[in-house]
Amino acid sequence: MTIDDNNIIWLDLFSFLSYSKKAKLLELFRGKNIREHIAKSQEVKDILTDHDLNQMCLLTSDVYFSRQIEKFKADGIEMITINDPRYPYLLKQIYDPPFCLYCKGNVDLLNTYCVGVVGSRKITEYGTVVTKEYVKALCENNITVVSGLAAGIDTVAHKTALDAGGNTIAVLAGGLYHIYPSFNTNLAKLITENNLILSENSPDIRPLTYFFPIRNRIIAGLSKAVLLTEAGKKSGALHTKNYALDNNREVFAVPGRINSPMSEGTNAVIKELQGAITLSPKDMLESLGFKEEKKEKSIQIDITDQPILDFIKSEKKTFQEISDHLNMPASELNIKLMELEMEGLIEKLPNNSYISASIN
Amino acid sequence: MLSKILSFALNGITGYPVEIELDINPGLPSYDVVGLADQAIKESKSRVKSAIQNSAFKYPIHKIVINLAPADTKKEGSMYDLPIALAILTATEEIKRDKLKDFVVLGELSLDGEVRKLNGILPMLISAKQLGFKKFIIPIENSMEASYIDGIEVYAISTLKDAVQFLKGEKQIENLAVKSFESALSERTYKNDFAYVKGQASAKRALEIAAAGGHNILLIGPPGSGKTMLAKCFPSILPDMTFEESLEVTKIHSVAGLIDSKKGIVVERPFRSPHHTATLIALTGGGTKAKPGEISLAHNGVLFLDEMPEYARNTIETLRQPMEDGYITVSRNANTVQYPANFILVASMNPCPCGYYGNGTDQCKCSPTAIHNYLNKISGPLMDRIDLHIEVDSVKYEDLSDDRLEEKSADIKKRVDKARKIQLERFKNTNIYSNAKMGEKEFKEYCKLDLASTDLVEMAFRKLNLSARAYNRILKVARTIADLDGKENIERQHILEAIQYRTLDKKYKV
Repeated sequence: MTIDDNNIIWLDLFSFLSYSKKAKLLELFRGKNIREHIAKSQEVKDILTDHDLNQMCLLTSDVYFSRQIEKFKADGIEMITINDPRYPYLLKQIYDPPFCLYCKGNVDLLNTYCVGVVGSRKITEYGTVVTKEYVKALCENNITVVSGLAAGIDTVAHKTALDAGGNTIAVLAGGLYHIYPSFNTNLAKLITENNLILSENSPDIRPLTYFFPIRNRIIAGLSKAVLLTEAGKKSGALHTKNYALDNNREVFAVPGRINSPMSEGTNAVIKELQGAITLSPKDMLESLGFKEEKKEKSIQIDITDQPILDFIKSEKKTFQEISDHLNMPASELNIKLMELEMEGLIEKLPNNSYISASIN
Repeated sequence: MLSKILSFALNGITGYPVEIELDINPGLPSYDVVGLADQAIKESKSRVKSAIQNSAFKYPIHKIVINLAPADTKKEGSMYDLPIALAILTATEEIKRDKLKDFVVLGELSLDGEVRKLNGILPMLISAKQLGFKKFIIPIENSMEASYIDGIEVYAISTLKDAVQFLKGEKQIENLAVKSFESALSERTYKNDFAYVKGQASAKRALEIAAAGGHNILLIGPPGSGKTMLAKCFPSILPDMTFEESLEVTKIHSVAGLIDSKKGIVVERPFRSPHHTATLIALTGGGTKAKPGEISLAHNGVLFLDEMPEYARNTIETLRQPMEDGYITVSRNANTVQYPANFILVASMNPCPCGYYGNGTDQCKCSPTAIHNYLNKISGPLMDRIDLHIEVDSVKYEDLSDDRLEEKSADIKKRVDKARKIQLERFKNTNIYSNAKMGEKEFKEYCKLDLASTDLVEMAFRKLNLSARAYNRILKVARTIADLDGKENIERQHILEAIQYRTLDKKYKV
């Protein structure tokens, strides 16, 4: 690693340094070991407060720094700085690219064709179904799904990509030692197996609230396009959309019901950018320049299953409603629904209700 | 003058004989009880004295010493009033000594000489019978409870005077007629019936399976969806208790003082629903007297934990061991008691703290973390012991207002009985009586799958992300469904249905 790389990694250890301060310090000490010179330098006083500077001067030792690096490496974390040839080309083009990406997993994914899939943390069954459908289509075309490992849409996107055997990148707000939300720790572990999680923050840094919107610029930066499947009025996904527009990425939004608060965000995006509307994975892929190969779905549907599928097509129905509609006893319907669920044709939702898994 | 009389004491639900020795000596009038008697026994002084005097007998104005042998176990309760009074009257030669020789006497006295009802008569009589005692004098109010035991002579008396006259041969009291268990069974009534629960077809089906295989079940649903009502109906589809089961339940309820003296024996399967503020001791049993707790009172019946995540964590975690063993050992400094605790656990919970997660009409306001924490309140090991998870639909107005007929509990029970019969036949020479209690060995033997079903299970695990621990549960439940279906082997459709009941494994957990 070069001196500049070391400077970047060392500066990243301090969570109180903002992006612009880091940029100024890196410029100031270009080609020089910052740890040796920072205490003596007069110019830093214009950039840093005395308090911050004192704190930094306490941790300038080589032993401390090399121990940190060794620890990160031992934990399987790769540090890809902006000077590294593996640094994603697209991300470098944005206004404020992260100086270093702390990566865990398959770093080859960084330079693949990526699409960001983002949305609210709180989702409806509609959002779930739509997200799954789009992510599956993206995976089929070998597109890497980028998201933020948050609850809701992000989790659905990552999980679906893993299940479909596709590629996915999770961009964290905090350091890699602090998976947030904690219930996704297991999911993060699964992702590192063959896919990638990354963060611009040093692994030990805890996620702070203002990291989350900033993190969204990485999602947008890595991606050729950003897809909003379901987002409320104040969803963080809208930041991602803004970053995407600022950096000349495509934006797609799935329309929702106009009276649903969970779709207010996506609908507003569509109103603002009429071209953003996407009505099926197919039309999104086409506008991205992918030609869909005709794949015959070879699932044999039992003739008796069709009425169930028709009944739950547009709206979720509870078990009781289906049972009443078809006049089928519970024991028999249980079997039918399980079969359909295993085929992936329907989706079981909370509250003992079901919905058709396909949107077409 | 010395006199001796036999009585009984209880340790948990087993009785042991207590010999009451009474000595009357000349001296200043006094009344001393030795042999680790509790306050209630010491206070018997006033009751015994008044009862004897008010029954027109003579109370000796002498020094009275009473010893309760064995002298080193703690005796509790008021059942020694009557034997002490009779011992005094024997010592004063009101009654001839040899008359009382074979009798075991139990009873509390009131000041006017009436004999009052006791708790724990049945376990004492059963233990006494096993130890070879034949003749008993007990309060008349306990006669129903005692009348189901064959092979002993029980004389139920209402006053001290009656007892004396009976022993003197002046009054005839008939030995209690033995009642048949069948007659008691026919008087059995359940307050709740599935016929009154509208809709909820899937929950009813799950409860039917739980009843047929003795499986523990968890109901998940929004507030007001009828989880509690469904659970309350559950005992009405359970198979009838056998006489032995019924006696066991009656014993425990008798010790706890919960017996209806008009009925005497418990024929309905117990349904216990402790409130979620219940303490650990209330649930497991204990206290200074090592009383049976809710889980023992639910023995052979149903323990219903409404809103399970609301219970203190350590309280519900203590259920794990008794759920496995079928009994609980309560140790207190005075005594160590083993109570049976073989129950079906029916638990209910909301899908999230506010209760409306996933509900169409009311929006849930819980954060994802709050939901996650709520669901995580129930530990994995406990979840492991619950075979069926079922989501209860929220009820719509149309469901309530429509007047279609629902299946009666009695009809469901017929199917359950049939499935249980198959299981009893299967586990004939073991101490297992339902699919839920299968051990490793039985599991291997009776839950075999054919090749197609093995593939199906494998596919289900892969596609639905089931956890490994779900495997045994699914197969056990599938076994029960096959029994309900009257099939020898587990088939494809049984497994498909069984997987339906692992909601929490696939839906809520990562």
